[in-house]
Amino acid sequence: MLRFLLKKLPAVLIVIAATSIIAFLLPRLAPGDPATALAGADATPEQIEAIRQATGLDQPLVVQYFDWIGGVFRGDLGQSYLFNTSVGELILSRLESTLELAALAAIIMIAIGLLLGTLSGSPRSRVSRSILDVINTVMLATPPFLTGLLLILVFGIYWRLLPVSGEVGLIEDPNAGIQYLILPAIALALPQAAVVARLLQTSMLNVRGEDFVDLARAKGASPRRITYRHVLRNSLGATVVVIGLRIGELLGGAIVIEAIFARNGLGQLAVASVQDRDYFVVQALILGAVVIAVAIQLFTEIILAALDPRIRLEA
Amino acid sequence: MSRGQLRPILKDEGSETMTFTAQRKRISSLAGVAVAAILMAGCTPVVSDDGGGSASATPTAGGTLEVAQAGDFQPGQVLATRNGNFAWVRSVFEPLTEFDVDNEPQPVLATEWSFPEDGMSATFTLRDDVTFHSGRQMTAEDVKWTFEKTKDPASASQVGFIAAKFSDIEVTSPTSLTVTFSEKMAPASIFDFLEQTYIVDSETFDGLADGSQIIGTGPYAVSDYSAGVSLTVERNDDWWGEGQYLDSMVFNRVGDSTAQLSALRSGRSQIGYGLSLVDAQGFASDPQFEVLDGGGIIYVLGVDVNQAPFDDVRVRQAIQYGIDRDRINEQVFAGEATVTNLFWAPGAEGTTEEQANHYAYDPDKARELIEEAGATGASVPITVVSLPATQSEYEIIANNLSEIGLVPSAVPVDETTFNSLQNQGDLGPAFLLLHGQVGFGETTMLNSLPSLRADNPSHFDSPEYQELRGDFLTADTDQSGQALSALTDYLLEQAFAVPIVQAPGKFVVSDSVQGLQISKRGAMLFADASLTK
Repeated sequence: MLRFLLKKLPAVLIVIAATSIIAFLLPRLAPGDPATALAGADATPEQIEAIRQATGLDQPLVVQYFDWIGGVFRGDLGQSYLFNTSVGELILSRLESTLELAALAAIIMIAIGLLLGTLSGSPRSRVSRSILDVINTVMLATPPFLTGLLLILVFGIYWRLLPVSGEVGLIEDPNAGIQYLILPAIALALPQAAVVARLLQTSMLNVRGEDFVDLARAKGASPRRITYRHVLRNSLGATVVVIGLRIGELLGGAIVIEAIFARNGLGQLAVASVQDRDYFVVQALILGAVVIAVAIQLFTEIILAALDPRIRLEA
Repeated sequence: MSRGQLRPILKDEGSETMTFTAQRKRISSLAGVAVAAILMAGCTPVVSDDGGGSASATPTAGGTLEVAQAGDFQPGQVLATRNGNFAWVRSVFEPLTEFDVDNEPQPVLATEWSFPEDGMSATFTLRDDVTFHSGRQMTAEDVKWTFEKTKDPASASQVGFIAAKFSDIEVTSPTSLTVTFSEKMAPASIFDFLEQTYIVDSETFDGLADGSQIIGTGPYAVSDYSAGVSLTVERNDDWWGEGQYLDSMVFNRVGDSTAQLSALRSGRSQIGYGLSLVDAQGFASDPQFEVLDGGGIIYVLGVDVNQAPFDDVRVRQAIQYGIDRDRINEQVFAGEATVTNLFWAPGAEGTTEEQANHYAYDPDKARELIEEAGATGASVPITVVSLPATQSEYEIIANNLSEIGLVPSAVPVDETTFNSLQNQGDLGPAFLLLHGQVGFGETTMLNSLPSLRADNPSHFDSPEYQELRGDFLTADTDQSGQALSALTDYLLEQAFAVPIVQAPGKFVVSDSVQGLQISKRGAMLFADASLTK
């Protein structure tokens, strides 16, 4: 395991170094800068210049880059131009919201995806199969924002069963926090769950045709044991890879869901920072997203190896 | 081992289906239980199904009012006009004076004022019972410090140009000061300045930048601030005034218009600010809500007079005749905007209806002017900020301009890019501007509106323009109407920037809220606001 991680290290470092340069340059390619956003629409050129000097935006780009990257190595992600506060603190204050949403959505995605995939990939009557296929197709075809709006309309406005606007942290108040999370997490998870289910279904149907399944059946294994011990387990490899990738999608989809459920997570912070050219926040978020993606990829490879003994990390 | 056990999988489905029936039921049951457990187990509902507030006329002390606002809080910019500050800032900070609905200045922190006839100074007397939320008494020195702070360009104050003409500020006692001007100034400009300039605490001013110390003198004091998320205020028991029925207020940033609708409809928020006019209009017929107007935005079509075909005044006039403003009002602003060709408030002294409707829709006249100028077929790139209202506005304008023989195209940019281009004077041949300064007086507008000020994005200037501006800015009260009329005629004739509509800001207020007032500039006044039960 350690050798595997060490072998991956150079590639990881190159990716992160390249990302830091891209993350630094990308927001600066767009016209305007944080001084323009801070000064407002009716500001005079003198007002904008005064803010630019006060915030150090008049320094050369190379100086700004090395100042920033030096700070990152010291654990200082810089200062938000817009909020005039530490970027690290700002991101941490929003992290809980996004992590809670993504975590519950991931649990729902895995639970529904595995349940639906297993049911669809198991032998059953034509009617049952058709119903499951329809459910899966509807989930797959309905984008999260539409699901979200429908959930808001039905459970937030028509019946008022659950809160549909705002948030309460799970740590602060688990009771209220979970109620604020349920609807956005479901809206976020359903399309991704459908993808997981569809892939698992296809994989299970393929595996069921393998010789070792016939052998198990010939040895008198029960249908339940065949499905769960032989077919499902041998179908999960590809599903785990997809689940890993879909967790990344969940974080991306959280931007829209956060907006319509008025949650203030990293997605909303990213949108506001891009709009207002809050460079340091954008840079930190891009860098963070790449580091997380790399970590998820490594983690997925480790899980794959655990599931399938034929895969060795050192190979 | 029998052959039956080696049958292809698909032919084996029936028997397995039967075997799995019980299991499927179990799985379904478990799923149901799991969902029910999440929803029910130990959860005290955080929403109530009361269907909103009831319309009682009795104000009740106590309670927490929630406001959903689209703009972001900018405590570091309290000396500037910021959309994200309109909802909360007046609860926490106070100016010396404020215009009422009849456009008469009313005392807030100042009790009296006087302007000598030469127009070269002003004297103010202040309340003697005002304290900052820090407990320190507010004095004339704080007023002086605040006035001088607005001169700093970094304060981004739209009325900083007025403070720049304060040659001296003399504090004559803890409750009085005299301001001397470097040139003659109209009282209307001074009152614009006073209303816009909230008195800040010099000792904690630096804390405004990151929101760590938001100290004012208002009826409510900030108790919690989370950057970009929410701002909470609680009753300030040491306030000099009366009212303050509410225990606290929470201002939540809800940037998405649909999310604001959900916040209001689901009962989370009692007030919504920053909804699109079309969304706000949806509440007008709902008896559980009231829609109030305040402040607003002037939508303007401007052109660069140095770029063809707009270097020809006939083309500039033609495009203004060619725009169907009534259609824009109906389709983009739900009929709620005021169609006008003037930057000034409707009915401003000296202006006429004819001026306000000077460019009434006349496509035939527009086509004639285009042909006369030889501009038929000219391409017209229009820079449009990517906001729903301006994009919809552009669609109609593009259609109108095509009808009169021009070839329009959109150059969409985001808000920050637009502001940057506007400040660089590089918006291109044509552009759709927005100015959030509805409610200011004409003299203030003439100096602060980007469309009209000296370094306007149209690059328009002329000796006659400067003369007419000067005539109006220095006119005596009895001549200002005439001067404004002459200036307005000139602006209409040159047509380098002409308003399309003035659209009011909309405040959607639940019927459970009483006593809320909106200032002329669009700030919410909560001193007398209460929640009914």
